[in-house]
Amino acid sequence: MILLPRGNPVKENVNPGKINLPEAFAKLHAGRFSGYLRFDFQERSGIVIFQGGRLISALFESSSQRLIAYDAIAMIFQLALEDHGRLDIYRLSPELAFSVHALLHGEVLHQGQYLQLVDIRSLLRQMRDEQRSGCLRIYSQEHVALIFYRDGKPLGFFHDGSTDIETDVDLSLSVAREPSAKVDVLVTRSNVEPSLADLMATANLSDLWMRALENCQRHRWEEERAASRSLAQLEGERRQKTLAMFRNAALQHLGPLGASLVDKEFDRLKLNGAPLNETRLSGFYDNLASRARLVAGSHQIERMLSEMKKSARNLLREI
Amino acid sequence: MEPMQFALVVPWMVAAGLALRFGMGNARAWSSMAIGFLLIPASELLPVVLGWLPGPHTTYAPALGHLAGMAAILVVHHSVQDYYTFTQTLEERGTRPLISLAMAGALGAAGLLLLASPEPTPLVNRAMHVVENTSWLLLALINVGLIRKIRRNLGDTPISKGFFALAAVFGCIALWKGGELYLDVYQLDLLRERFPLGYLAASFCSVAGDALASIGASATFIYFSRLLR
Repeated sequence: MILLPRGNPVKENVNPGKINLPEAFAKLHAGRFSGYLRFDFQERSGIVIFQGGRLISALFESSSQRLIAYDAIAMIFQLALEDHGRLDIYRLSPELAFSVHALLHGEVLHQGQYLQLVDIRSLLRQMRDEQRSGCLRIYSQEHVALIFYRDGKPLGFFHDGSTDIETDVDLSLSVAREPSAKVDVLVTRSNVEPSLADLMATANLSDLWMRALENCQRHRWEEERAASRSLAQLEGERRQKTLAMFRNAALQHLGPLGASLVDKEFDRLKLNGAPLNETRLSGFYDNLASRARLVAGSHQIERMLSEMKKSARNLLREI
Repeated sequence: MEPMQFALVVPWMVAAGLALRFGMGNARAWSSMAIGFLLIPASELLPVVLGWLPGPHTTYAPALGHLAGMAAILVVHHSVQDYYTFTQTLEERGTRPLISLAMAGALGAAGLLLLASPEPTPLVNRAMHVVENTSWLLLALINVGLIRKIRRNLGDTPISKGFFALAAVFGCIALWKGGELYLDVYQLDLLRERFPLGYLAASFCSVAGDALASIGASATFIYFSRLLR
């Protein structure tokens, strides 16, 4: 889970599976958008950051995986098509967008520390003394706030709803006051370039999208094939169970010839893969009754058929 | 009709009634058999009934009776064979109207053949009686064999025990028709004084077989009705 304040919402709670993402990215590019796109899937999330219309950063994180740049974009495309996640778009200032990028690709010094258990003053002092650049991420269940530092000096705050680094301390501290608030200490790497390449300019995102589409279609086809295979298997089992039950009933009421009659009439059903249902079985019952009249009386046949119908109903319902 | 003859026909009429009652509401093979059993008393009564009609056709009447008798065993044998085929293949062939129509057609054709042929003399009637009895004897014996196979194929089905009784009926029929055939072939009715024992034995077999077959047929169809209740 990538924790970031929400920024100024442009669009929230959109199904990314219903959007052509390369086209959407192109629009953001044309509109010189600064901010980030947040993709949330089941226990996985991705962030795509735009700065002045340039796609400067992409990150994808799951419990076992961390991908960046094109790998992250490809994965986001893939999951958007398969997983029907959620997309939120937040506008930020270009500087803040860059800071968020630096933060996401930074190093984690401390993670998930309960604020109540941390000596925050000494932590801040350490940041100042070591002249660190980075941020403190303070978060609770509901809110996230970032406090940015450069060379040990506080730059400002980024909290839900803001588009730029702010100096208003109240909102950020309000997160810190929440009882379950935690803090992460992140430091930016010294080798972060001040100006980043536009990922949209260096690769064709449409190709990544097409590949994701193909993968998705292939997965769907495989899933459908597996489902239909298991359905056919299930149907086969159901047919076998029904036949065995019919044979038993016929054996009991008509003797061995009755079981042979059942085999013959069941074979005549010619299901050809079609599912067994009560409509199809009604023809079977009629034919069986007609043949059985040569070897048994109507009461015996009726008893046998009613037993068969009852068991078949239960069997068809059960499976 | 002699009283003895009449006494022997009555149980066949009862058997035919029971066979019809059992066979008509039942599977096609049983319907054919019922028609066959109906033709047995019909073949006996036909010459008598036709004899009562005015006109010079008295020699035609017994011939028609013999033809009806032959048709009877043919249709009965056909139904037994059908049943045997069913126990082998589990397939039921033919339909009830088709069998009835074929039967009526065969009887009509036989009647036409009689009318188109020279008037049957007593010698011709005797020959026809021999052919009728031969057909009955052979087909009754074949039926016993077929029923044995049917019984084996049926195994423990509810109806299977009834086939013991049916086999016994055909055994009695074979005795009946065999006795008559023996009497006809050796013309023992003309030589009864020279061969009284042979005549007596053949006559006894014929009468006893006839009576037992008719009573057995009634009992068998009652038994079948019970088994298939």
